[in-house]
Amino acid sequence: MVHLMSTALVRGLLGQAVGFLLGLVLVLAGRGLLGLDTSWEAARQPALVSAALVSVLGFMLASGMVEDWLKEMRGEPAPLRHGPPEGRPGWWRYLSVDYNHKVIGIQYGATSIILLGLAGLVAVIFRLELTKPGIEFLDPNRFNTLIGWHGIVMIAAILLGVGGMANYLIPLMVGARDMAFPRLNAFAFWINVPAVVLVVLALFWGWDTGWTGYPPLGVFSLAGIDLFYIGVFVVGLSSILGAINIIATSLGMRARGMTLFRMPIFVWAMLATSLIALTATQLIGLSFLMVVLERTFGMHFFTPILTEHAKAIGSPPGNPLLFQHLFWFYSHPAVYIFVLPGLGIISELLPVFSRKPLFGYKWVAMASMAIALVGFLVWGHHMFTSGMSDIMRVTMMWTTLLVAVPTGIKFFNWLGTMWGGKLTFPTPMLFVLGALSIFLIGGLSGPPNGTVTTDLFLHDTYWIVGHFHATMFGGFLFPYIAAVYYWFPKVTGRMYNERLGKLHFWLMTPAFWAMSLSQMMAGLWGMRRRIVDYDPALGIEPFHLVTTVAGIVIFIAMLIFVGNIVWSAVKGPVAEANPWKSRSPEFQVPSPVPEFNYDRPLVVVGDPYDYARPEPYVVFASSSAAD
Amino acid sequence: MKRHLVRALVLIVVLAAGLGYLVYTGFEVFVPTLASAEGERIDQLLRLQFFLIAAIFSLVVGFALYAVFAFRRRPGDETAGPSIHGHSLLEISWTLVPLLIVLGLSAMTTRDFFWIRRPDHDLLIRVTGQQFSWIFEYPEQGIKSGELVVPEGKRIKFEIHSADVVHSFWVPEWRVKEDAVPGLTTYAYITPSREGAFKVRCAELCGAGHANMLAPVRVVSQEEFEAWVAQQKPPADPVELGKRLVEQYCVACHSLDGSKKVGPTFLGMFGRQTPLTDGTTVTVDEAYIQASIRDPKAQVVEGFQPVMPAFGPDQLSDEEVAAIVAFLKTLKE
Repeated sequence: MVHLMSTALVRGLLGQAVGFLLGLVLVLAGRGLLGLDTSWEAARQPALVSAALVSVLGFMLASGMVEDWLKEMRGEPAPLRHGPPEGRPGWWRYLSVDYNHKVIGIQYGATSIILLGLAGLVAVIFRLELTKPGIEFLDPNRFNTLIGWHGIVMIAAILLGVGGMANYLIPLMVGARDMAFPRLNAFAFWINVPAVVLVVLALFWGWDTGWTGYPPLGVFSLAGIDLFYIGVFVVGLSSILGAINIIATSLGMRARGMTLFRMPIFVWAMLATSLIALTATQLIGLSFLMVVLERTFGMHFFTPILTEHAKAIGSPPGNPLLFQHLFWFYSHPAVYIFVLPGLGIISELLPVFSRKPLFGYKWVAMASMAIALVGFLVWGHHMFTSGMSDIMRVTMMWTTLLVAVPTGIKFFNWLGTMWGGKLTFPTPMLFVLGALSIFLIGGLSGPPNGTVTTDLFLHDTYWIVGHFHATMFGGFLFPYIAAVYYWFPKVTGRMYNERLGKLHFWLMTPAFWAMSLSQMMAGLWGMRRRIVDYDPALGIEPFHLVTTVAGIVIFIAMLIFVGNIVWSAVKGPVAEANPWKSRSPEFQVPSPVPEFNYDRPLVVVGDPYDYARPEPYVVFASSSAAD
Repeated sequence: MKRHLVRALVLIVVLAAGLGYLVYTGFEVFVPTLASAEGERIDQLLRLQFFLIAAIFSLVVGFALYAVFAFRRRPGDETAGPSIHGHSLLEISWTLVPLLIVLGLSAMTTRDFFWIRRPDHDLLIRVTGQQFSWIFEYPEQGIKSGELVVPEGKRIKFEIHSADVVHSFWVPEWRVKEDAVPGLTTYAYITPSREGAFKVRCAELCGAGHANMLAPVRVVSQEEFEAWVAQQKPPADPVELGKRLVEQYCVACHSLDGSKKVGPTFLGMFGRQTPLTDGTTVTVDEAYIQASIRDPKAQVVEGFQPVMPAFGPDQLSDEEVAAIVAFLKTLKE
């Protein structure tokens, strides 16, 4: 109990609660002093904004995540803490501010799986509502709140999952002892916790815009939306800081002999991802912040309908399309932040389970960079029906379809990798193949949305819902699951249950296919996105029934997954150091990986994936003096 | 190796033929009835893309499936696969061929898009979306309606506005959709090619009543259209007028048959004692209905959310509100 109370998690949450109250009091007191209305109805909006902001500060100060920096500011010594904390049980460091990249990676990964579960549960709830036409048990505002919550919490879960893989794997893969900036790394993880708490709190007041938060609806929305906007803003901060660390580590801390084209391919994927996260995330933060300012201070960025006061001071009307441009300038590339790491995992695991080099390594690496760069020039395809000028729509179509080229390169190289190999099919490989099939249909259902004219039809329908979920399942979720199974023995030193892993796969993959195809069909038949009730005359009820049942099966399969990894982490059989006979450096050291990864520096002497060659990928320098 | 390649290609051809046949025979089943000339171009391109999807899907899945079955590791075989790192000619071809395909698609779509968006038209209709209803104004005919009635075969320019938040004007059978954006005027061009009854369905999340933000659409012959226009002068009978206004503005959220929607049903509402969210009870009379239209959030019926937009005198005049009251009085259980 004493140990639990002293964790950063508990201290931080208490600090956040105090900060939240303080923020409320600040606004109420300020309004009282200024002689403004202090009733809850009148003061709620600014009070919640202030409470949200102060609560994040409260978490930061109370959790100890900025302790070292505060010490340095005061001129006190703040040496980097290393190793497991003394006098604490083993689990304590996972709930505390710890600077070891592997601990942070597990913190990210565990949080992401918890959020996947919550957001998935919410999806099951509103899918039950949609099984039949009519409003069964969710009133429209609650439904709208839940779909927005599902969307944004899944996005946070994915960003955290990406963070988990990157933090755990990149230092190991490049042969470093840790990330370049360990304190920043811990900060980037912990800042997510108060952000997620805000998004959870937003449920109590609700909001009705979905995760996109479009004004003017967002400006007039329910009180929960400010907590949602600010929560996302803070998650974005984490994403930017994480990206700095990943870029610095993968470019600056590579082992001797590890030229760029000899890095494990996942590092390339994370480098491309991080370049996007570093430079695009600001735009969603900015656009959400501007709506909060508009709601709080009446600044008319996006709403064309002016208040009397705004008219009196000659304020020009706002433009709703401005928001959409800012928002999608991040939120489209964000999709590549989600899928590039997943595609990197596919490229990383296929050679291991095919016992053959990655086909066209340089092409695969450059394809990631190409997707990242072209991804910046395509945001307008989310606005093909928004009223944007015709010439912009056509331009954005030409750039959008270009993304198909590097994506195709990846697919063909994966086939080239498998071709003529010696394939085995343990659970991670099954999920890689599942990912390949699902991302294929996700990718192929993309061009009809990319060509403007067909998008005039498909935009904002369930077809898009099907397309998007296929890209997320194939591009992130399946590879992520593959990664968890694959590195599980390395992380825990124990083996997961193979039979349950296969059960998980064989439940989830057909269920996903059924869900995705029925979503797409419902969309083609006229089902719109984000509606609580649909017209029975469309004849889409069978598709909805299939979607709901399949969704529940996926949820059950994920419960089996979580049960398997939790149980196996405690009771599973002890795993060998290199159960997959991988050439990757992290598999050349014992499991779980020692505190400082490698006791001797790595030297790259061979190809990362060429299993036919006698010389290994890396050797350990004979003494640390060789460094 | 050659043997494997031939077998895989056979598998791919079989898959592609099957899926291609599905698209060829099933396309009309996949999409709703087609009812506009612009939609015809859209369906052509969509059909072409479905064929492409079938082909590329078969190509990738065919190779992958074949590999999964043919290149399994034999039990006891601990050796590695061949040391093949790539093939430049293959890489260049699977870069260039998809590039040519997408450039071709872009070029075709550009041509179609500018054809769909060409400015000539025979009829102008001004569409206004507002939470949660659609109003259609015919400036050349001088009429206003909650029902969209259009002549078949005439190219219509829809000038689209929004009174509050972003909505999207969409009739699935016409394919084309375009957002209604407050502060902007947007356009859609549609030539209805099939007579019949359809619905406008708001396609952009606009709040609590979004799901039911529908409006009836009728595509009729030119003669019927002209006859309809002639009838559209506002009716003198207040009950008739009220009925029309209720159908125009209210039925997205308030049913007339007793079923529960976003708001309370109108059936049997007039004269009833109704509990409110603040714990008081009110008799639904002229004054309450008037007040609830002008300032709906002031007295909300218990069990409902305060989500109804206010209708000022610009949207509904005092006479129109009185006509709505007159109509509601007739809705007895």
